[in-house]
Amino acid sequence: MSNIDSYRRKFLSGVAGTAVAATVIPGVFLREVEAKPVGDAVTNAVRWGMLIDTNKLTDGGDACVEACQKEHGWGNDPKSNDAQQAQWIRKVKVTEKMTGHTVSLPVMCQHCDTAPCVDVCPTGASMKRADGIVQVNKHVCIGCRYCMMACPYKARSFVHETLQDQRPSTPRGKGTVESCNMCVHRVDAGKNPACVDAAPQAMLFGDLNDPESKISKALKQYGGTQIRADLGLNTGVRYWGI
Amino acid sequence: MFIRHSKKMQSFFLMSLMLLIGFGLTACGDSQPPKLMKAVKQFKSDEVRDAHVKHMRKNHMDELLHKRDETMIKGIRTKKYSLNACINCHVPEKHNGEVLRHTNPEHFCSTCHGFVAAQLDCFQCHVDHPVNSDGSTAKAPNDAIHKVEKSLSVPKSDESKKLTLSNNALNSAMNSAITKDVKGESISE
Repeated sequence: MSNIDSYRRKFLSGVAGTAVAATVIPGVFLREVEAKPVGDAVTNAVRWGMLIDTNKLTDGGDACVEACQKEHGWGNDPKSNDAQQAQWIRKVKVTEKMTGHTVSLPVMCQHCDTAPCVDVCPTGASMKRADGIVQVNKHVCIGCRYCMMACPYKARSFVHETLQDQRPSTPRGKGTVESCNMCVHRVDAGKNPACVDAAPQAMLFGDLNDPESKISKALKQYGGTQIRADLGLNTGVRYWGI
Repeated sequence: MFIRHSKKMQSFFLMSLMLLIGFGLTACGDSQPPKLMKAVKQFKSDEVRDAHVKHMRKNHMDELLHKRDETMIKGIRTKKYSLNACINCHVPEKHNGEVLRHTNPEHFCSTCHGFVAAQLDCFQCHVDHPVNSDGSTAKAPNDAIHKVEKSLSVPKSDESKKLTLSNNALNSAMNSAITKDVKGESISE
C-alpha cells in the first residue's frame, strides 16, 4: 500500500468513526470488508468469520436464505424432490425443553478451522482456502458424499440432476457436493456475503485475525457461541442469543 | 468363371480403389475448420488479435486449467483466461431470439468441439452464455413456469379463461419458487 493510500484510509476511517459515533445507534454494524488486489493470492493473514445475532433476526433468517438462493441459484432444481433440493443455508429452530424458549437461527457451513469435511475428502476437493473459507473444488469432486456424512452441521448438499443456467460466479453441476462458500466471489471483490447484506442489522462479517476488526472486538467483548463447541472445530461462524 | 474374368475383375477393383482413394484425398484437402461465431471484443490491432487467436487455438485448455486452480484455490480472479470472460466475449446473449446454449452447434465452443469430437465438460457446471450481473436476462426459461404452461390444457378458443388460468398458475409458481419455504428443523438441547 502506498503512503498516500494508507493516509487516505486512515483519514477516511477517522471520518467514518466520528460519523458513526454521532449518528448510528450502538449495535448497528457497518461493512468493513476490504478487497485484496485482484491479482494477489489469498493468504492466511486474514481469517474470514461471521457473527450472527439471532435476537436481531426479526424474520428468523428468511431474508438470508432468500438472498443466498438468489445469489447462488440453488433450491429450485426442477427434477429434485424436497429432500434432494440443495440447501446452502437453512433455518433451524432450537427449543429449550425446560423453558420452551425457542430461537430460530440460520445455519450454513460454519467454516471450521479444522474442518471434518476436508479431513475425509479422498480427492482434496473439499478444501479450506488460506483465508479460512471452506469450499468444494468441484473440478476434482467425485461426488462420494463422505463430506456430507462428516459434517456435523449438515451443511452440504448434493446435486442430483443436470442443471443449466447457473449463476456465472456459482458453477453448480450434477454429481458434485456443494455448500456455503461464504460468497467467496463477493469476498474476493471486497463485498459482504449476500446473507450479511440481507440482514445487516443482525450479521457481521469480518477478519477474525485482525484484533481491530469490528467482529473481533465484538467477540472479544461479548464472546460468541459456536454450535457444537464440544467438537473443538473452531468455527468461523459464531452466534449470539443461542 | 471367376478364374476366366479374374484379370478384368482385378483391374476393375484396382480402378475403383484408386478412384475411392482419390475422392477421399480430395475430400480431405477440402476440409476446412468450421466457421466460428464472431467475438464481441475488438482488439487494438490485427496483430494482437492474430496472436490471441493463434495462442488460444492451441493452448486454451491449458490456460483454462491453470486459471481454474488459481481462482479456486488462491482466489485470483483476474479477467485474463477467466471462463466467464471468454463466454462474455465469444457468446452472444441471444442468438436468433433464443439463449445460445452449448448444445447448439453454433455455440462458439461447441462448433470446434463437435468438429473434432472432443467432449466439452465445462458447461456441466458453468453457465454457457452471458448473464447480467443481476441474473435477469438470459435467465433461462424457468422450468417451473414451463411446466405449468405445458400442463395447462385449456381449449384454445377460450382465450380469456386461458389467460387468467395461466396467469394464476404462473403467479403461484413464481411465488412458490421465490418464497419457497425452507423446512425448519428442530433440535432439542
